[in-house]
Amino acid sequence: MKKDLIQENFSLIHAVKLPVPGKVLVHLGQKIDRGSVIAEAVLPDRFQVFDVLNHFRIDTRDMEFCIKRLAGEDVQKGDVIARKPGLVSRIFRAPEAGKVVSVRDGRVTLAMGERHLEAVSPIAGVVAEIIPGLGAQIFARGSKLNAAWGNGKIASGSLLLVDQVKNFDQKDLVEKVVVLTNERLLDVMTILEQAGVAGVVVWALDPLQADRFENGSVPLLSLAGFGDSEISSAMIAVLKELEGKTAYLLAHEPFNRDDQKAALFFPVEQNQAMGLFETEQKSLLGSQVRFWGSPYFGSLGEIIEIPDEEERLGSGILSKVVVVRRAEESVIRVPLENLEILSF
Amino acid sequence: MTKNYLAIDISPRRSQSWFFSDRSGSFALHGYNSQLGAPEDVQALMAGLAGLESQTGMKLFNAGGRFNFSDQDEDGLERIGLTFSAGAPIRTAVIGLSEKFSLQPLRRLVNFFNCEIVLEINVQKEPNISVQLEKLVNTGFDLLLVAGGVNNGPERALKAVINNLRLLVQLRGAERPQIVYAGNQALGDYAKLELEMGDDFHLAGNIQPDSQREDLSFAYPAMIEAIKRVRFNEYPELRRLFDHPKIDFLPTEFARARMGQWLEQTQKNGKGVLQIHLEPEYGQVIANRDGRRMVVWEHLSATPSDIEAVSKSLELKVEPFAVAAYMLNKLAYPAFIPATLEELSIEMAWIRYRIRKMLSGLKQLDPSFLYDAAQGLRDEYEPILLSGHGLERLPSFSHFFLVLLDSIMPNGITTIVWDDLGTLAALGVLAKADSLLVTQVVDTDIFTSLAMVVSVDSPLSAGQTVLRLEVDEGEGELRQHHQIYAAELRRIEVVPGQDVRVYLSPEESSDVGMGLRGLGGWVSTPPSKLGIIIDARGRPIRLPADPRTRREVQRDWLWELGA
Repeated sequence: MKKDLIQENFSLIHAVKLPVPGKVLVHLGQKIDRGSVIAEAVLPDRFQVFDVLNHFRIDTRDMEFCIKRLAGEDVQKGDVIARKPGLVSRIFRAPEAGKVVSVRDGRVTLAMGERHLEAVSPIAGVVAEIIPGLGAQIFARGSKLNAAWGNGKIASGSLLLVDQVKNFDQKDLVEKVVVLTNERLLDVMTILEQAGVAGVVVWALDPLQADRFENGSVPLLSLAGFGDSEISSAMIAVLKELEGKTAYLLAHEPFNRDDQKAALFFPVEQNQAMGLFETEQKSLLGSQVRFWGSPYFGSLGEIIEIPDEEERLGSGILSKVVVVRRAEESVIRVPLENLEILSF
Repeated sequence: MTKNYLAIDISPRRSQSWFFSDRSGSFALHGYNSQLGAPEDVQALMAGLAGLESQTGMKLFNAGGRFNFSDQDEDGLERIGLTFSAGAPIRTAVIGLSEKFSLQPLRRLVNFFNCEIVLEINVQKEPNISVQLEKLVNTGFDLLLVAGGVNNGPERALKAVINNLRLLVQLRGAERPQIVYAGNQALGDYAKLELEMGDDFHLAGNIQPDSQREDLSFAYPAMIEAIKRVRFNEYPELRRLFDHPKIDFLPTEFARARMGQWLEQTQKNGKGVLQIHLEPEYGQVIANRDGRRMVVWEHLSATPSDIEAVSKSLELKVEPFAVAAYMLNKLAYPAFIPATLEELSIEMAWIRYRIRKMLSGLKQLDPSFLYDAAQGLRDEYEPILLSGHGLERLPSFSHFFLVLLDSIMPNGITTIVWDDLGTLAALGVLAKADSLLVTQVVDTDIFTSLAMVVSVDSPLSAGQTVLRLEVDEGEGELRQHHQIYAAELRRIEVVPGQDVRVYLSPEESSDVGMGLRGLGGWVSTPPSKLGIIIDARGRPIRLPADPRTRREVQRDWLWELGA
C-alpha cells in the first residue's frame, strides 16, 4: 500500500534563495547538510547622504576643499567628513563607524553598520544548480507525499502521528512534525504552537478559517486541501510506517514564485547523487489518485480505465474522463483534471 | 513567391503555434497547434511544432534542426513572432518625482505587463535620500522604473535618484535589476553614463514630456527590451528563441494590445475596442479608446472578501463552506473542471466577479476608462473580444455569454466576438513584419461572432414596452417583429450563416445607443452563434431581493439564451 500512495525514489529539487542578491557560498555538486548556509548578503544597515553643497551653502568650486574623505575610505565615529572653513566653521562628522561609499555631485554617502542575510537550506542534499547571486537548487532523493496546500513555511523534524494531543506530554511534541489523525486543527492549534512543534500536517482544513491557517506561526501542510473529509485508514497506515523518520514539511503556497508544490518529503540517507536520467513516466492506468471536487473530496482511488471519448459531466461540460475505482469499491467517472495523481 | 510566417506563444501551462501563409493568394491561417507543457519544457514545444509541421506540410526545421528561414530555403519562413506570458509577475520598483505626474503613469505602465509593484518611492513625499537608498537596497526586485520631470525641467531631485541607483547597481553587482529610465530626457545620457549598466539600462522617452501630456508609448520599446532580458535570464532553455535575429519577441499582453489599437484605427464606428482574456490563473483587460491603450492584469486570488463576493452572486443555493472550499482548492489546482451543477454555479459566479474586478481595477488605474461596477460600461466599445482557456471550459456559448453580459454590462450596441485560437497575440507580434498579413487574416473571419447585443437604457418599470424591433433576414424571409419589455433579456434567433438587418424603434424615454433617447434606426449584424440579444434588464441589472426568486430569474435568463 505504501508504494501506491507515496512516490518512492523521488528527486526533489528545492530552491534556497536570498531575498536580495548577495554571494553564493556553495558550489555545484557540493553535499550540504540541513541548516547549511547556501548564500549570504552583507548589506549596510543604514545610509546617510550628506548634501555638502546645500548644507554648507557653498559654491561648487569650493567643494573640493570642504570634503575631507574619499569614496572607499573607512571612517570612525566622529571623523570629519566635510568641513566648511571660515570664522564660524561648520563640520559634518561620521555619526558612527562605516565607509564612504560615494562622493558625487556635492553629496557624500556613508554606509554604516552591517546587516547579514543568510539563505539557509532546510533540507540536506546536493547542490544541483546555482542561482547566480541568490542561492541554489538543492537536490535530495527520497519518498514524497503530495500535498494540496501549505502556508508558505518550511520545516523539518521527526514525524509523529498524534491521535489526541492531550495524550502527549508537551516535551514529546517539541520539534516534531506532527500529523493530526483524529482532531480538528483549530481545537489544538494553540497547544501545538506553545509546545514548539516543528510543523503540523493535517488531512483537510476548514475553508472558512483559511486566513487563520495562512497567518499561523507554525508551518502547516494540508494533504487533501480545503473541505470536509477524514483521513483514510490506508493513509494512516502509510504514515505509521514513516513515523520517527526525518520529514521535510514543504508547505509551499499555491502560486509561489518558484512554482514549487506543497509536499511531505522523507529523504533517504544513501544515494543522494542525481541520476542522469530520471525515471520515465509510466501509464496513468493503475495510478493511485485523490479526488479534488465534491462529493468525493479527499477520498482515494485507482484509475482502472481511460476511455477515448469525451463525456458530458453533471455540470454539462464536455470533458475527457477516467474511470476510477474508489477505496470502498464503487466505480465512478471523473475528469482527469479533477484528480491528484499520487503515484504512477 | 510564397511568404510564410510562424507565431509561437509560450504561456504558463501550454505553448501554442500558428502557421500563416499566402500560398493561396492571400494570407490565411493554415495550421494551429496547442501543446500542454511548462514554459521550460523545450521538448513539449518541439512536439507542438512537429504537430504543426505534419498538419501543414511545411518544413519548419532544416536538416541541422534549426528554423528553416527563407534566406536559406525559398519555401522557408520569413520571420517568427514569439509571444510570452509565462513566469511569475516581474517584481518591479517604481520611483517617481510626484504622485500625479510620475507614479500614476508608472503604475499604468507597469500594469500593462505581467509585473508586480513591490516598491514605490515618491520623491516628493520621501525627500530623504538616505531613506530612499535604504528602501532600494533592502527590497528584492528585477525591474526598476524611474520617471519624473518634464523635459529640460529641474534636474536636482532626479540626479539624486540616479546617484542612489548607481550605488544600488554597484552593490548588486552582476545581479542588478533591469532599469528603465523614462523621465526628463535632459538627464537620459547622464543616467546611462552614471549607471554604466550596458544592456541592463534601457533609456525610454519621457512618459510625461510636459505637464499636460502623458504618453506611455514612449516607454514601450524600453519596457519590452527590459522584460525580454528578465525572462531571458529566467528561462535560459529558451535562449535560442529569445536572441534569434529573425524572431521578434513581444510580451503576449502587448501583442494583443497592439492588435486592439490596429482594430480601433481600422474600424469606422468611432467606438473603442475592448479585450478580455481569462486564463485559469490570471486575466487581463485591454481597452483601446481614442488611441489610448489601457490595460490591467489580474492574478487569481481567493481572499475572504473574494469568497464572500462570489457566495453572494450564485445562481444555485450553495453553502458558504462549499464555495470557500472550491475556490481555495482551485488556487492549488487551477485546471479543475466544475463537475457538478453547484461547482458550475460557483465557477460562473467567480468568472463574473473576476471580470468585474478587472474592469473596476482598470477604472481605478486609468480614470479615462469609463466603467462602474453597478452601471457597467459607460462608454461605447465594439467589438468586445474574448479569449483564454478560463472561458472555454463552460458548457456552452450561452453560459459564458451570460457571465460576460452580467459582468461587462455593455452600453448601446455592440458585437461580442470569441477569439477561439487566441490568434490576436500571434497577429500582434507579426504585424510589424508584415502588416498585410494582419489585414488579410482578419478578413478571413478568423474570429467567431457570438452575438450582437443591444442594451436598452430606460426609466420604465418592469413589464412596460421599451423597444420595438423589426428583423430583416434577407430576401424570401418574412420580417420578424418583436416587442421588448423593461427588465427583460431576450434572444432573437436568426437564420445561421447570413447577415441580418435590424430596425430598432425605442420608446421615447429609451436609449439604445443611437445618440439620443427615443432615436432608432437600422443596424446590420454579421452571422453569429447566438443571434441578437436585447438586454433591457437596466443598469444596475434589476434582480429580485429574495435569493430564491433571484436564482429563478438568473436561471430563466440562461434558458432564454439557449442553455
